[in-house]
Amino acid sequence: MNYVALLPPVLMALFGCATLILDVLTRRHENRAWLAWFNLAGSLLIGLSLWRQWQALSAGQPVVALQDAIVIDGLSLFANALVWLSVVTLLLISYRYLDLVGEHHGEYYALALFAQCGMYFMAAGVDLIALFVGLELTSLSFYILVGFTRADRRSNEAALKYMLLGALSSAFVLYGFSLLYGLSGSTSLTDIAAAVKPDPFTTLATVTVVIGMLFKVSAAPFHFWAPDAYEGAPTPITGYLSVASKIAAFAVLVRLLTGPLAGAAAIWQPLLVFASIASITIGSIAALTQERIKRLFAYSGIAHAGYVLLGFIAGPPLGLQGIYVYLLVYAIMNGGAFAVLTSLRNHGIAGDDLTDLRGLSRKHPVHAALFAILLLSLAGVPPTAGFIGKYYILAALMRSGHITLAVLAAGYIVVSLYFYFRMIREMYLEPSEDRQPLAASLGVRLALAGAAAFTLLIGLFPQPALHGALTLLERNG
Amino acid sequence: MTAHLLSLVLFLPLAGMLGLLLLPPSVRVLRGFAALVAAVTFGFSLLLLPGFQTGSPGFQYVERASWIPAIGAQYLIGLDGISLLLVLLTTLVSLLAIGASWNSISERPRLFYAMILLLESGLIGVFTSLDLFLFYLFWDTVLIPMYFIIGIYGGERRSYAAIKFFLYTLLGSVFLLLGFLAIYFQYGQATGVYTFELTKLMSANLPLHVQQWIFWGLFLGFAVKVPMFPLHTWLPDAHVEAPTAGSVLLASLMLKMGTYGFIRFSLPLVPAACSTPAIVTTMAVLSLIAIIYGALVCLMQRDWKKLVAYSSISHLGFCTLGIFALNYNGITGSVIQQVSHGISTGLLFLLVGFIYERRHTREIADYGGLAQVMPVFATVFAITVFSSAGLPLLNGFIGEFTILSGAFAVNRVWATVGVIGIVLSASYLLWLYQRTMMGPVKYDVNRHLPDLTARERLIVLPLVVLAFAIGIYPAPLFRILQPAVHALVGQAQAGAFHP
Repeated sequence: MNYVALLPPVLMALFGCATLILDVLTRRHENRAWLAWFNLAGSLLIGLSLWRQWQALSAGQPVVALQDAIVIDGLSLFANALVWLSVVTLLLISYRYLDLVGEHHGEYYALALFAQCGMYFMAAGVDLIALFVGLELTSLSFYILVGFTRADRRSNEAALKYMLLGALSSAFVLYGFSLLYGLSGSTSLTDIAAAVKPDPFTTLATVTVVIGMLFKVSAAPFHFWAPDAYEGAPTPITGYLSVASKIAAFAVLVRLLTGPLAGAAAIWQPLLVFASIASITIGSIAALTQERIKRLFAYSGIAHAGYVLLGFIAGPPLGLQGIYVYLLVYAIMNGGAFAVLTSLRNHGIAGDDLTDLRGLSRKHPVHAALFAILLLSLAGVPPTAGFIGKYYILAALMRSGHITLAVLAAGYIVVSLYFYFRMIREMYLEPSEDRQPLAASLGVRLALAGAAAFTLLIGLFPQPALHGALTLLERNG
Repeated sequence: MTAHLLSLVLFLPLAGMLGLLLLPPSVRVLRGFAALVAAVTFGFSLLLLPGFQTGSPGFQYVERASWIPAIGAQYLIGLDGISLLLVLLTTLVSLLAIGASWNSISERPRLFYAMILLLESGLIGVFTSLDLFLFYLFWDTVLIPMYFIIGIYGGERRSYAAIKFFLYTLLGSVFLLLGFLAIYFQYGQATGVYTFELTKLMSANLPLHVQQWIFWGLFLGFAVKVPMFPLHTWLPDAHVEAPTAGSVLLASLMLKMGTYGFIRFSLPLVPAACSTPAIVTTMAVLSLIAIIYGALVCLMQRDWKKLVAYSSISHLGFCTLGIFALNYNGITGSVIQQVSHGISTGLLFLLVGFIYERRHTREIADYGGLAQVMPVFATVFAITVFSSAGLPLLNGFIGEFTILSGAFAVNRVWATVGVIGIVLSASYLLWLYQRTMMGPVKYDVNRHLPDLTARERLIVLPLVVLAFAIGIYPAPLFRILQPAVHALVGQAQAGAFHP
């Protein structure tokens, strides 16, 4: 049965390496878009291998592999499916953009797949080593990807900042892991769970691990890297970073906080209460005044992270359901939004400013309409998927008696509406300016249409998506 | 056919909206199609009448389908007398609003008519949902089309007015959602059944202090929409900046969502809270302030459209006063007043729109003596003013009188203040009439204004006829409302808190 558990990461690594080799062999060719399609074909196989895991999981118990270092359970499959979705989106929207910025290289795709491989181990790891190796593989790939547009100074700056703070956060995590190892004498999460008891070392370990992971999900007050990294990175990578890396990091948090550290809830709960309130507040307030779209999305992503953290505070069962549903919805709508942002970049325009959206509804009515749907969803307005996500979080808080937090979270929905609607205003209400058309490749169109369609579909008929997410939740190890 | 008639009425405009997206980009085709869809919807909604059993209590045309079993939400719609009237008002006014936009919307007509039809579906959904989750979905959905209608097709400050409208109402909505969730979990924990079904949740019988918290949550949602003083500040902006069709839809229909919410959800779900003296007094006082304050502001207005906007605050004050009289007359009067206000304020905004299209100013001082120039317009305007001011034999009188008789039974002071409000409303409306219609023609530009066209006459005709019909023979309305209101009053009193 082991091959079921290992097939997806092996495929990711193989296709990553194959891309590197093929890239070198065909360096002379002008057209590089085939690299994206090649990797999409690879992703199809990876998708099938994940599907195979789902079948195995439906048939019986969670599958463990690599001497119990990784597990295929509902959580890992759920996170990996979303990361897979994000990779497919990335591959679809990247190729035109890379041509436009003149940095179309095979390394881009290879690194994206290596990052995916790292995230696979983050989601599936039940051993400190597997988790940390996954975390580092992901981070290293992303450091390079964020700085991929070498000629752009902001991209370089972003990569450097991201790397410095990323390394710091990894150090936090590693320190916490070493303490956990010291406490239990084992790297296996099951052994650690048995060894965790209320003492200062557990407290220290919990605090450092949680802080390290809060860095990774860009929750306040550990969010400072996000706006710069998001702004400087190539736009498709920003989308990938904001969706996939967050989901993988949340998967680790779910794994740790409902597993070995469940007993230390008294320690991490106040920490997360603070982080979630701070994230939602800082994210929503700071997003109000941003003039650059990617910075705006960075702050809005911080707020979204805050909403997900609220799910941990509400606790199982409803809070965990909330996390699942929210992440699912977030992956779809944010991925779709970045398809639009990517296509804003065209010959001669950076497409970074809010005003670059001006008058979009006249020139590209379909794009504008689909983007508007995604923005409504990000704001959490019915009848879109985003509302279902917010609904679950609010319901979980009400259920667990965190009324004040629920009121606060609900209030900030209104604030977030304002900054998302600044974009709708630019597209629809502001007079049209003579501007260049979107660089909307076939891939962008596919990604956008798919995301918007699912956003509406989940908003109107949430049952199948809810059923899927909740079934996976029940199959946790 | 009749089994799904209500769903048909509900989704026809939505289907029409999707159909609009496929049509060629010609104003004539688009507006014609939108009008056709709205007319057919209106026709089908009229078909609801013959099958409606006036005598029987409970909901009719009920349709139920599984929707989101994971959280206990269903597709559950139905009608009682109250919702029936509001649905009919919605389908009629939506049709008229499309007619009123005939020549004024030349830019981006597709989006405009699509938004109107989406709004119509949303409103019908609000007035027919019997499941709290479904209701909330429709409740928030209607904000989206209205944002675009104000924001794209509105006046100079449209962008500001549109987002203010959206933010304000959404702020109310999220608290409404929290209130709903509280009921949902309280009921679920007590019974083990997690459901959003209205009729089930009515039996929740929550402790008083819980009910009170929930009441205020729902209050924020509904009161912003009505709007009740002091949550009304979005209204003047939105109504004034909106295009004519938008103002008509806002005033005639969307404000009723708030009052309808109080009747449909607050009263039956938290009956004990609704009848605690503190809450009743607060609601009555806020209503009375709205009545007097709205009227006083109207007296000060120099802007014709703004005056009409503020008059809505005053008139809706009567509706909320009637609801919290918590007796048969009060609630019946309130619903009739809601319908009446839909008719008379719809007319007022239509007429302001017609004159604005001709003169492009809303300053009252720019007019005067129009009765000589536009006799038909002046006649219709006179009828409208009288109807809005509550003159007997016209619709406004019936609602206000019934509300005041209900209020009088509870507290004489309320009724007295209400009467003062009626006097004030007569003064600002008649004064408006005097300044715009009577006397000599002040400005030469006004001397050649064309009178109402055939299309415009056709649009106002149904509303004028209804104003007279309700004023002269309101008995059918009372008959339609009676069982529903009796049931409500019964629930409110059964669940009332007796110390």
